[in-house]
Amino acid sequence: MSTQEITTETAVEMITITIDGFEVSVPKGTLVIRAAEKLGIQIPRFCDHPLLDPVGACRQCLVEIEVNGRKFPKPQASCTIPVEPGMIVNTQLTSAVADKAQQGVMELLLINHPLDCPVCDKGGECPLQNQAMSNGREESRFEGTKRTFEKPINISSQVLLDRERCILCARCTRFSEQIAGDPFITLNERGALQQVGIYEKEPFESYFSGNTVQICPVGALTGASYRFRARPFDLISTPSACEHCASGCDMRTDVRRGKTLRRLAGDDAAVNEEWNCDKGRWAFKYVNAKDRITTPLIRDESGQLREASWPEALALAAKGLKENRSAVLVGGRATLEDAYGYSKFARIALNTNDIDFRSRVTSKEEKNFLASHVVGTQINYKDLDRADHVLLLGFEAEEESPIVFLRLYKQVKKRELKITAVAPFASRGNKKLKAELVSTPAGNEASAISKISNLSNKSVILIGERLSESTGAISAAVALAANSGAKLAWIPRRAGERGALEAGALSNLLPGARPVSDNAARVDLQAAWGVSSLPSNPGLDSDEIIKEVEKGNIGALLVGGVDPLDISPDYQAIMEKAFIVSLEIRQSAVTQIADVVLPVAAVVEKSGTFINWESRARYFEAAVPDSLTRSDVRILSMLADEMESSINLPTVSSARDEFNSLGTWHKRESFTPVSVESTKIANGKANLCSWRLLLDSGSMQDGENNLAGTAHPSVAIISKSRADSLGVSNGDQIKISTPRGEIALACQIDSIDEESVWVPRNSINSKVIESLGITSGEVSVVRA
Amino acid sequence: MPLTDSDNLVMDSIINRYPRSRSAIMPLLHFAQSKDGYVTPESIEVIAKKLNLESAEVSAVATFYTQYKRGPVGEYHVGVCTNTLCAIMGGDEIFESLKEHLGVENNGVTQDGKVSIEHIECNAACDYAPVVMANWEFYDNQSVESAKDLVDSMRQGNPIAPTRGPDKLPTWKENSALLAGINDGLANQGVSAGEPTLLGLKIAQSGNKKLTPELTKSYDQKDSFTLDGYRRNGGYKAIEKALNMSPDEVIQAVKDSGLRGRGGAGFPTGMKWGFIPQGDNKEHYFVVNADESEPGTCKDTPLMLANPHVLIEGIIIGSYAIRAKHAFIYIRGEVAHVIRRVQQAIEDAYKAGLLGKNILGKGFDLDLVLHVGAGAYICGEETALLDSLEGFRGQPRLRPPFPAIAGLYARPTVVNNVESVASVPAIINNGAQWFASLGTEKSKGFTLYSLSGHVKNPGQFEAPLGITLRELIDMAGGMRNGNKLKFWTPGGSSTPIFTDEHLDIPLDYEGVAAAGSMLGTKALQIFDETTSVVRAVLRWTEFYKHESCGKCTPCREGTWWLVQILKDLDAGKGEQADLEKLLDLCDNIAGRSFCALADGAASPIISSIKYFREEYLEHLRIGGSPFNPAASSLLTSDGVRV
Repeated sequence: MSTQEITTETAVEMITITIDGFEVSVPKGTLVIRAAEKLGIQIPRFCDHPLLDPVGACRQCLVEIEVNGRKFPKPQASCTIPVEPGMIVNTQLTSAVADKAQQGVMELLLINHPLDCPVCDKGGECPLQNQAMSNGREESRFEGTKRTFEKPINISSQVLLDRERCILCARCTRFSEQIAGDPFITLNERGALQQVGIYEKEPFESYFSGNTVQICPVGALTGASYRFRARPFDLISTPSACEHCASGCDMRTDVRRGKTLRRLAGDDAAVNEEWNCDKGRWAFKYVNAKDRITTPLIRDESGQLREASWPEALALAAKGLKENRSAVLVGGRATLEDAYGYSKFARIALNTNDIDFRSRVTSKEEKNFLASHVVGTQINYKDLDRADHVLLLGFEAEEESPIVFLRLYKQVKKRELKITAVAPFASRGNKKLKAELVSTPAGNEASAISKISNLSNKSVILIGERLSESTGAISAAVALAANSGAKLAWIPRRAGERGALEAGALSNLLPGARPVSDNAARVDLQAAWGVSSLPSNPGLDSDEIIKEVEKGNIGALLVGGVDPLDISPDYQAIMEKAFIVSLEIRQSAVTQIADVVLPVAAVVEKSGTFINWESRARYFEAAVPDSLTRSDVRILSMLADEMESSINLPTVSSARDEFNSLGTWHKRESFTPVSVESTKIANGKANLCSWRLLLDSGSMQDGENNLAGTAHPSVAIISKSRADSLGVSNGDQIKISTPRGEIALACQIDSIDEESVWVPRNSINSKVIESLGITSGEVSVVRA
Repeated sequence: MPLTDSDNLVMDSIINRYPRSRSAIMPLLHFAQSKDGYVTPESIEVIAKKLNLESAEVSAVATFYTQYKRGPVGEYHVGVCTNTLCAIMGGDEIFESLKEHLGVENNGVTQDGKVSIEHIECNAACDYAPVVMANWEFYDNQSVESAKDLVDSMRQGNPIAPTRGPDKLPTWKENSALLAGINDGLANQGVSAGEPTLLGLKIAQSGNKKLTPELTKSYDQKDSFTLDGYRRNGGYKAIEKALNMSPDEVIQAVKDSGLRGRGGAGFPTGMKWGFIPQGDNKEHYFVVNADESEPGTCKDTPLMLANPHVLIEGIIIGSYAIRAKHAFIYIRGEVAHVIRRVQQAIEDAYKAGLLGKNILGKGFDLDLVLHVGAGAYICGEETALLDSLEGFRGQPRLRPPFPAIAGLYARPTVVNNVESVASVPAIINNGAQWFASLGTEKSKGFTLYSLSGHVKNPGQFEAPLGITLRELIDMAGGMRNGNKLKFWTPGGSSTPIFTDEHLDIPLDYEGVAAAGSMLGTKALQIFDETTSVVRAVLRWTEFYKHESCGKCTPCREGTWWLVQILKDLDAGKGEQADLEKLLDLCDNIAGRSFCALADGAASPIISSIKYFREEYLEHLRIGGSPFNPAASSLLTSDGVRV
């Protein structure tokens, strides 16, 4: 392990070399090919990729090199040679030998490459095509027989492989092994028959497989969903941000004639480097789903929803919200600006602090933690790069924040970063991280955490949103951080939660980390907002809001992007009692009970900002031009006007500017630890644990069957001893039940904590909250 | 692969041979073949699970090596060498007639499941050409008739015994178990050496002073390969002496002797040992390259067959010198009886306290593992060998770091050729000065010259460096039928060819280099005037295409293209400009590829056009080959040995 890396950042030694007669100074260790880039000298290359280990396989980047008067006898691959003092490099621009070597390699690459550019997806953005033009011979001298393969083959439901196009640069296989830790695709055979392939029975089901399509320098790997859909030059590309999780990936969205055709990972060295996950890349068809809401809807006298004009719908919504005690529920899809709109709307238009962005199973302990330890703080990926030890609590990195996983994996590979996970079993992701497992049944995290002692002030504790499901666990983590000096970071699953926290879409917080309970903070905000008062009573959490609805104390709800089934199977029925104004992209469980439905824009149609887990703002513009849909905040502003208590946020940018002008309040509410209550499970019962898999039944993955085809199968994980006592073996069906209902799944025997049974939370045949009514706790497990 | 408990134990014991489990992939795949006859998907999955790998990773390795089969082979798998030398000497005729006789194509299996047939590349027995292998046992000096008799006897269930091998031919599955490292106890059967191997020794014994048998001196004793036999000839005296020296003194002695690598490159052995960082608190590894596969090269294989203990003694000394506690012999998988002998020798050495803990009570510990390859010429390249030994596809690694800094498992590692290591005990026994007094100024000592092809008596000659081909051909009884020498390789097919102009060049590193080639492995393949150089070069090029690992573009694509052009030229198709194209292509391939394999591929082409341009043009003029292949064969047209 490089201790240097985590202790000091030593001054970088610079080395000066001469390339094509120009001097350039670059940090020691820089490869010649990149030193040349710095001068604007483009050396052609295929296998080279700045984030993959040098391999020197394609030999396209050959240059002549001389060091201290001694010339290498042969041209060298500039992608493998680090700079040395006194080095003189002659590229194709100044060396006839290098130029001929490059043209020779290019000719050889093309002898077996099909001339199918006119029907190849890569045509127009193809490094082989481009560099064949810039660094190749005009005509091939090859008159022989080309290598052919059956084409294309599906290496997963979403990735296709045309082997005859492949130039065997091994970027894809190296990515899979070095970056994702998923060596499901490998080079097979050898010599001229060498080819990329999968093991015949195991498809390329890596969560990161799409990156191989993106970095393939030819059209050998293509995505099934984009294949034959467009020409690169017909696409309009817009930088964008990913709405699927809190990792905060930079993205690019490519649109043709108003329709998103593909999304690519953007290049942000500080965050996602050049990668993203397959959900971020391919889950965008929900935008065009059949159940997309396109006009306002109101419920008529017969109880049916009917289309309405905006004025009619806004008037009805305003009336309902005005006439009742109202509260706000906002989900994780909201941008910072939207969440700020909901936050301000609650305080000004509804005069309430009854607002909660956490549309999930949660706790007061978490709310207190967020307001005391998370809001207004910053921690970032670099802290992971420098950490001596990372502790994962209630957090499955690969499933719940895949780019955080990639960063951890990188450090594990590079310097054997120590990872510890408190979880009921070692997931595939945690096995790849070589994480030390503190095997813990759900509900007992607090005592497990309190026993951890090997953290330092260079350690990082990553707390997932699920830790709130275990009473006392967050308190234990806070104590551990305080005792060890380790940094604490909170990584929610959804893209909007951190922004909503900062925007004050929470009952104890106003925008900019202002505690509701802090008189001065309220007064400060009153001044900024130009209002004479703000509600000062601490508001209700989502669970409390629903309870008050049930009791009849709250009569109206403003709901933005919340699925009640993410919290409880009972809530939809309870919420029906209230007057509901729903701001939604598509029909949902809330639509069925809503009185007014207002259509809102999806991410690609609007501008906005996501705040990722680091507290980094990821701003994006609309990728689809001229969309008729509007961001939530614009609609909320109209609605507030209609209620005659304006929030004055007519545009996304006005909301962002206003939020930014508020600054961050300097005082936090204090944290009150919650005492430990270990979960006790009755004899013969099991302790349920669950989390969402990255690819599951989430509504934002709808409409993309190629992606869904690579989801991990729904299985229930049980211990060997439980399997023995049930008399089942791998693959046999078992039933997990509570008094509310049951889930039947094939079982998989793993070294899981003896008491526990794990099921995916929201996958095919495994809708935990809907079926069982709980996310953890006591269940019965029987053989089906 | 239906795994029994005892299979599981065997697999565990295979895994336990290695410091890191992944290294066990290759022996486990051999073991899988010993169960099922080929590598089944099921066995891939079992191995992946055992080694905690993805199935794709195991399958990537399995498909790299030609000895791992994808479907059933016969109970007796017959390989006919059709690399240049054997092909020209009659291998082509044997292969064609066997296919016809059995009614199967290349890689086909007879309907009774008894016999399968495959054309194979050079199997390190060139002085016994034409060679046929069966279940990787040697059948030397074959003819069409003898080969037919052999497969007939297999189909009748009573196969003819190998020439140099056990008394009875084991089955494919039995020998697959041997390749997995499971000793079948048959090592003591069979001869120490065949006649060609003994040729030089016998000439020396008859008083010829130009030859200096040292490694080969005991080859004619029928138990030369046993521990007793080796000891009787003074074996294991050198380690007593070496272990009483300091490691640095041993390195110095080897440096002083002037010993240079005998695997082809000629790098000074002592200097290589001296590169290993000392006091670095890291494991060091000593690895022997016994992957003898360079066409024409057939010196290490008979050495390990007749005298495996001299290699082991050299390994002990070398490991002691570089402070390694773990040594490996990476041997090619196609030489079953050699594997048997080396395996037995290792086991006997352990029993005698020469390996293991506290060797000879001197406090030095050494474990030695025999690692069996699976058919890949590229694994003779030292970094590809290391990747293969680590359980990966045998593709060369980026250098630096060099193996001396980061070799096996990224630890300091020495990789030495068999002959180099085997030469060390004599240096220790007789002193560096004795060794340095032999040979020429910069090419010290004795070495093994392997003479094969169109000479009257092919064979092995151990002589001081600097002897000439003229002297060696003399000893071999001259050219066959008194024919004229046409062309020859000084050190395997990767070294540019020579002609009869070069008969008096001293065969040492400098002499051969000065004449425009390389000493290489001293594999002297001799071709007489009946041989078509275009045919010879085409066949070598096909070999390089087959053996290209696929990693880099120039080699992978270049050899593919070169073969197509040469096939046309051999058939008399094309025009003069194609020769220029061929040369230009060679210029775009040699020196542009990742490792030296492609340089080797270009060598015969460039050098043959240099010396025989007219012959290429003659092919084009007459629209075909002016040569009659039967004339260069040892077999007459009806296939009977003359």
